[in-house]
Amino acid sequence: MRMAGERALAEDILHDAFITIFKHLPQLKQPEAVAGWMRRIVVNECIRQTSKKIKIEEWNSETADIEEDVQDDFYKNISLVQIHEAIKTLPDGCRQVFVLYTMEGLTHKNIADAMGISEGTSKSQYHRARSLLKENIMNFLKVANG
Amino acid sequence: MDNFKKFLEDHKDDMDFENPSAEVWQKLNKPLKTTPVISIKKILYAATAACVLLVAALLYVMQEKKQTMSGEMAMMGKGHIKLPDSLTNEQAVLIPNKTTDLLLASTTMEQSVKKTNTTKQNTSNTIDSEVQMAVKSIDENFNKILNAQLRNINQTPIYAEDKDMFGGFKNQYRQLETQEKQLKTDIVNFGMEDQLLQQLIFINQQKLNLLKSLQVEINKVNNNIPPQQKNKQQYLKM
Repeated sequence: MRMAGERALAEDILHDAFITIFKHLPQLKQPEAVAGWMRRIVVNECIRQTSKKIKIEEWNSETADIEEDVQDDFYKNISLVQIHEAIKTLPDGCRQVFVLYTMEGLTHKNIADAMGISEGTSKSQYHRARSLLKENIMNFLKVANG
Repeated sequence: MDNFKKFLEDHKDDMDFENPSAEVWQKLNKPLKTTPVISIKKILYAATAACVLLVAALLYVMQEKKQTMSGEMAMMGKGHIKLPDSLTNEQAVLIPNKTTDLLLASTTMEQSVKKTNTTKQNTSNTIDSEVQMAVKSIDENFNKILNAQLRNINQTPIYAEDKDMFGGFKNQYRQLETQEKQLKTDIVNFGMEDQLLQQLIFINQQKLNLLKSLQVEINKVNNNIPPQQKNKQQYLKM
């Protein structure tokens, strides 16, 4: 859901990913690695289907090399549900890059290769997503604290 | 390292708040459309099996043809051209009917050999042996009837004063034998050609006609000699 952004697309992706899993199950050589293997298939299916419908803005030199305050803890006073919802509100493109980078452990190079974009674009999209998230969360906290 | 990134990585499993609807699992429970997976090994096995079957079938058909042809030859040798062991003078006159049979038989043999020639490209060895069989069969069948005719002539008494009056027939017969010998040498050297086969049959027919004419001539001469003059009898040695 975090990657797809909408339930219908997420369910389609899940369905197609499971079909791929069933078809290729005999090729799985290490049964103990089935969880990671299934996760990779689902992520690849996510990238494949979302890349078809989104158009990611090209590399932005102004934001790509921004040195952000990576030590700030704006997320500490908010629940995981709210973070999850905030991620879902991110625009297409930067949301996928953000999820792949932060939660799926892909490098910017991996993301660039998988999504057919440049590494610089991946970085700039990540920074954009992080800024938007921070902004949204801060706004939410302001509203919540009155 | 980015603290926020580390925080999300640590809690990503705790953030799975949404589950797919039951409909997704129902769809997945439907049997998959199984597209046949074509294995290269299976294709190779199938191709090999098909080749083996094809070769076996070809060998079987060739064997059948060979047997059929041998059967035809055997029938010709035993049935159509069967001659009585001994021929009388009267029976000798009936030889033309036998000759018709022989001509029919030789035509059949010719057709068989022609049939053999059409399949020559594939199995030259088999065909060679078939051709040899055909030549042998022609030889045997003509020899039977020629020998019978010769035996008949040799046993027919000649009441004429001079048996050398039939020397012309004798010389002509020798010439035909020489030609036949030469033709057989050509067949051995150059293989069985249609033309050579025709010549071989033709020469044998000529030999047979010559012997028939000789027999008729001897009978005619004998019939013209009055009984009181039939004291001295001679025999022609062909």
